[in-house]
Amino acid sequence: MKNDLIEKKLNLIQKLRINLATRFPRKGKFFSYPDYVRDAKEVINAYFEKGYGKELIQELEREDYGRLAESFGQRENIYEHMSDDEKRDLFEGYGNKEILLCVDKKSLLSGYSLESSDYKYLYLRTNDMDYLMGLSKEARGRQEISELVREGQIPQEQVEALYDRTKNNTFLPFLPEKKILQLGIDGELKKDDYKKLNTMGDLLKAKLVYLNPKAFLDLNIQDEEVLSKLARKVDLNEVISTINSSERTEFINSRENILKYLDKSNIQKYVVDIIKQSKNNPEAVINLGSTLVNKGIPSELIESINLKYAITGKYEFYLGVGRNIIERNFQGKDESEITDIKKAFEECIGKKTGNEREDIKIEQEVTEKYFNILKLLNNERVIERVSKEDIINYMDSNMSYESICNIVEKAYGEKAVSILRERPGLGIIDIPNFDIFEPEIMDLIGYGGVHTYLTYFMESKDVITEMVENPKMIEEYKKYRDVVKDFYPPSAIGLEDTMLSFRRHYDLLSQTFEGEITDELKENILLMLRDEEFFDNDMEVGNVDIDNNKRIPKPKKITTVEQLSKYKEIRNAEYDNLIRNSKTDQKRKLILAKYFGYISDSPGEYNDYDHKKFLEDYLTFNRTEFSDYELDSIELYDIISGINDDQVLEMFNEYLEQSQVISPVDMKSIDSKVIESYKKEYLDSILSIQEAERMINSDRKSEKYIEKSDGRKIYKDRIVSGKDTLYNRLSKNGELIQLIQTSAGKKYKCGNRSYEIRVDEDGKEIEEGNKDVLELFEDGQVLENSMVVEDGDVEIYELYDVDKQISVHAVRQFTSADFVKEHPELGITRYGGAYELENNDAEIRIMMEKNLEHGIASRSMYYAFDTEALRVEVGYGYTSLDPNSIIGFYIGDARTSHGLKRLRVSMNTLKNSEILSASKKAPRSSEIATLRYEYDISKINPNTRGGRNEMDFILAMNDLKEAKKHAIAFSKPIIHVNSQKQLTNSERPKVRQEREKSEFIQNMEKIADGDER
Amino acid sequence: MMSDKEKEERLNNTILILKDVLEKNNKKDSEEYERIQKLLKKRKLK
Repeated sequence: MKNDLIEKKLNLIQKLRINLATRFPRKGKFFSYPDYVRDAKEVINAYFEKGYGKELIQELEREDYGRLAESFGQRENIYEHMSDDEKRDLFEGYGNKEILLCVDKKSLLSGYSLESSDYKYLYLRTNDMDYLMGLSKEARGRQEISELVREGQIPQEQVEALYDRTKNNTFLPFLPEKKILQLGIDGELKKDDYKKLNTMGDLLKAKLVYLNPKAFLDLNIQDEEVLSKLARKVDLNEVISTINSSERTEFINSRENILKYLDKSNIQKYVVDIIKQSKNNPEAVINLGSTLVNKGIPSELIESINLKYAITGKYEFYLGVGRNIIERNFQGKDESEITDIKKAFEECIGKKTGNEREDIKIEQEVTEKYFNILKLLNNERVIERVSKEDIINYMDSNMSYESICNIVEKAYGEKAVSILRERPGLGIIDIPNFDIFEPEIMDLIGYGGVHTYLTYFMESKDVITEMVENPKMIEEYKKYRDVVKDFYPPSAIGLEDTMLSFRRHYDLLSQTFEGEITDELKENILLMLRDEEFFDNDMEVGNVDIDNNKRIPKPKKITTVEQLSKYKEIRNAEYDNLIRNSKTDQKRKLILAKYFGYISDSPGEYNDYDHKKFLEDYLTFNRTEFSDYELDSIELYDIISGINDDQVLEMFNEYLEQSQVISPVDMKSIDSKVIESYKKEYLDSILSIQEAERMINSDRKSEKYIEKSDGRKIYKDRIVSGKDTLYNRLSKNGELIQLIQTSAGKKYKCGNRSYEIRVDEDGKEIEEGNKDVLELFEDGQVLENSMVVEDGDVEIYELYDVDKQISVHAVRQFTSADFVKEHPELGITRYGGAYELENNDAEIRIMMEKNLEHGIASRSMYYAFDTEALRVEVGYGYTSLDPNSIIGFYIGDARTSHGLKRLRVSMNTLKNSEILSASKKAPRSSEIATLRYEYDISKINPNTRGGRNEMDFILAMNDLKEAKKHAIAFSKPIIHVNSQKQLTNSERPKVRQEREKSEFIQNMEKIADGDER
Repeated sequence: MMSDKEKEERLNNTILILKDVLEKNNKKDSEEYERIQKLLKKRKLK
C-alpha cells in the first residue's frame, strides 16, 4: 500500500532510477540512494537476492534507517543475520528498537532469554498484538511454542516460563518503549491491560501511571527511587482513596514499599483494617507496628489505633515493637550483644511492678522513652560507629546528657560534640535526630543551623535525614538555597521554609538544576513559591466550604522544567480564568494574590491582620523602620482591599496586565517586615521572670477559691460546649477511680465497682451501683483529666499544682491542629496522645502522652482565663518535676493596643535581656528575632533545660485583631473564645492601671467567685 | 533581581493604573479614589 502510493507520485526519472537500482544492485550502494529508491520493494528484494541482506540489516542499527526494518523483515529473517552481541543488545533493550518490528516472531521466541532483563519489553493487549504479530490467543501461543519446541528452536527448559507469558490471552510481543507510551497517551490501554504490563520495567510502569494515575492500582512498582519520583508527580493517595477497605488492604499488603508515600488518612484506614483483623492477637499487632516503623510510619499512629481496639496495652506495644526493632537492626551481631541491648532497652522503658501508681507512671512515660531510645537504635550510622557498651550506657543512664555527648563524639567526631557541649542544658528530647551532626550536614547548615535544630521544633528534621541517605540532595539544596536566599529570611524560619520547600519541589528542582539556572527560571521559582503561599494558606482555597459554596480551586502542581520556564504565563492565565469566574470577594482576593501575593486580609478569619490598622499603628513600632515605598505598597494593597465593584476589579486586572506593575515577589519582603515588627514588639512585651514570680507568689494569699473544707485542693472539670463529655481519673489509697461523664449521665468506676447516675427516657434521674465509689472519687487525688473534643470545643477547668498550692481556672479550646482531621472517630494529638470513642456509647477518653505530674497537665497547652491568655508547661519530657522547672504561665492581656502582654512564670526561663544577649552569640540563622515558638526562647541560654514545644495556637479573647497580629507573626491559627464581655476603648486605660496591680490575681478571684461563663 | 528604582516604578505604575480605572468607572467620589489621590500626592505623581 505504501509503495503503491509512492509509486503514483514518482516521475519518470525516479522510476528509471528504481529500475536501475533493481537491475544492478551494488555492494555498499543501497544506503546512498534517495528514500524513494530505498523504499521500493523491488530494490530491497534485488539487494537481498544478490546476498547483500546482512549488510543492509547491519546498517539498520542506525536509527534513521529504522523505518526500513519492516520491509527487510518481510524479505528475510533479520534475526539470523545478527551476531550474538547484537541479539543480546536487542533483548537487553540497547539495540535498535526498530529492528524488533522486523524480527520474525519465532526468532524472538527462541532468542528471548527469560533470564535477561525484560526491562524494555512488555505485553500488550490482544488487539495491538494482533495488529503487530498476528498472534494473540493463548491457545495459539501455546501451539506456536509447542511447534517451536518440536522444531528445536526453543530449549525445553524455557517452555514453562513462556507458557506463563501466554496467560490471560496475551502473548509476548516486544515493542519499543515509545510505542507503549503512545498507547498510554492515546488511552488505548484498559484496566486489564495494565495488570498484564506488570512484567515491564518500573520506569515504564511509572510513566504509564503518570499518564493514567489509576493504573497505579494495577502496576506494581518496586524500585524505590522510581516510586519516590512517581509519588512526587502523582497523587497516589487520591488513587488509593478510591478503593474499598478490602481492596486497600490487599493492595498495600502486596506493595509495602508504598506505605511511606501514603498520607495519614490512608495509612490509618489501612492500619485500622489490619488491627481489626488481628483481634485477640497482640503478637500480630506488635509485628505490624515493627514492620511499619521500618517503613517510616510513625509508631504513635499505629499505637493510637491499637489503643482504640485495645489489642495490646501501650506499654506492651512499645516494648514489643522496640524489641523487634533491636533484633532487626542488630541482625548479624553476636546473640549475647543483642540480648544485652534488649535488656537495657527493657530496663530503660521500665518494668511494671504491680503497684498501680507506679505502673501508670511507666505507662505514661513509655511513648517518650521509646522514641528517644529509637533515635539511637534506628540510626544505622550510629549503630555502626559506636560500641555496644556506649549504646547500653545511653539507655542505662536514661539518655543522660553525658551519654548523648559520648555517642555524638564517637559517631560524628569532635566538631559535632563541641556544639553539643555548648548546650549542657539539653536533653535527648531536644535533639531531633542524630543526623544533624553528620559532617556533610553540619557543613551545609553551619554551626548556627545545628543550634537551630537543637533549639526549635523543626519539621524539616526529616529532610536532613533524607539528605544523609541521599547525599545528592545536599548539592542540589545548595543551588536551591542560592536561588531563595533573599526570599526566605536568614533565620530559623527561613531555614525551615527553605528546607521544606526544597523537599516539596525536589523532583522539579532536581530536573531544573541539571541545566543552566537562568534568571528567568530563578524568578519563576520565586513566583511559584509565592503563589503557593496563597493557594496553601488562603481559607477560600479548596473544594467547597461547609455551605457547599464553590471555593477557589488549587492550580495543578508544576512538575517539569518546561512548565517552570513558562510559569509566569501559566499562572497569569490561571489567575485570569479564576478571576473571570469568581464572585466579587474572590475576584478581589485573586487579583491581590496575583499582584501582591498571599497576605490574608479577610476580617474575622484566622491568621489575619489588618493593614489599615497596621498603617495606623505604624508609629508605635519603634524598632522597625519602613521606607515610603514599603508603606505605600501596603497602603495600595489596603485600598484595593476595599474595592467592591466587579467592573473596576476586572478592568484593573486587565490594565495591570499591560504594564510593568508590582509583583508578589516584591511584596514578600514588605509583608515579612510587617510580621517581623510584630514579633519584635511581642518580644519586648515579655515580662521578666522575677516580676512574674513575684506576682505568682503573691497569689498564695488569695486562694479562697479552693473550696475544700479540710484544706485540700480538689478541682472539678466542666465542659461548656461541644460533646460535653469528660473523663477523669483519680486515685485514693492506691486505688484508681474513674469518672466518665457525658450528656447522658455519669459513671464512676473503681475496679469492678461502679456507680452510675443517668437520666432515663422519661427524664427521671436514676442512680445505680455502689455509692462508695462516688465518695472515693470525691476524695481522690487527681491523676488525669481529659475529654473528647471536636474542633472548636471549649473546656473550662482548674489547674492545680500540689507543690505550689496554686490553682487557677482555665479555658481551653481545641483546634483541628490538635487532631488528625480525616478520621472522625479517632484522632491523634500532635504529641502522640490519642482519644478514642468506644462503641458509640459515649464512653470516651483522651490519653495524653504526657503524664499529669502533680495534677497539672504536663504537655504544652494554651489556656485563657477571663481576658487573659495562659499557657501551661510542666516538666516537659522529664519523669518528675524538678523544683526549678515548674510551671510556665503566659498571661496575655488582649486588651492593650498592640501585643499580648505575657507573663512568664517559668523558673528556668530567662528574662528578655538575657535571651537577646544570648542570641548575639549565635550566627544569623538562629537569631532570636526569628523565634518561632515562644517557649523556645528559654532554650537559647545554654544553662536552661527548657522545652521544645510548638505553640499550638494564639488564643484570642476580646480583641481578636490584636491576637491576629500574633497569629500571623507566628504562623499559627487563632482560637477565638466567645462569651467574653467586650471592652470599649474608653475602658482600656482603666484596665491597664488595674493590670499594674495584678490582673492575674483579680481574674482568678473573679473566677473563683463563680463568675461562670 | 529588580533594583529599588525599578520597584518604585512598578509601584507607581500600579497606583496610576488604579487611579485611571477608578476614574473610568466614575468612582471619583469613592473612599478608594480619595486614598489613591493622597498616595499620588505623597509620591509626587499626577
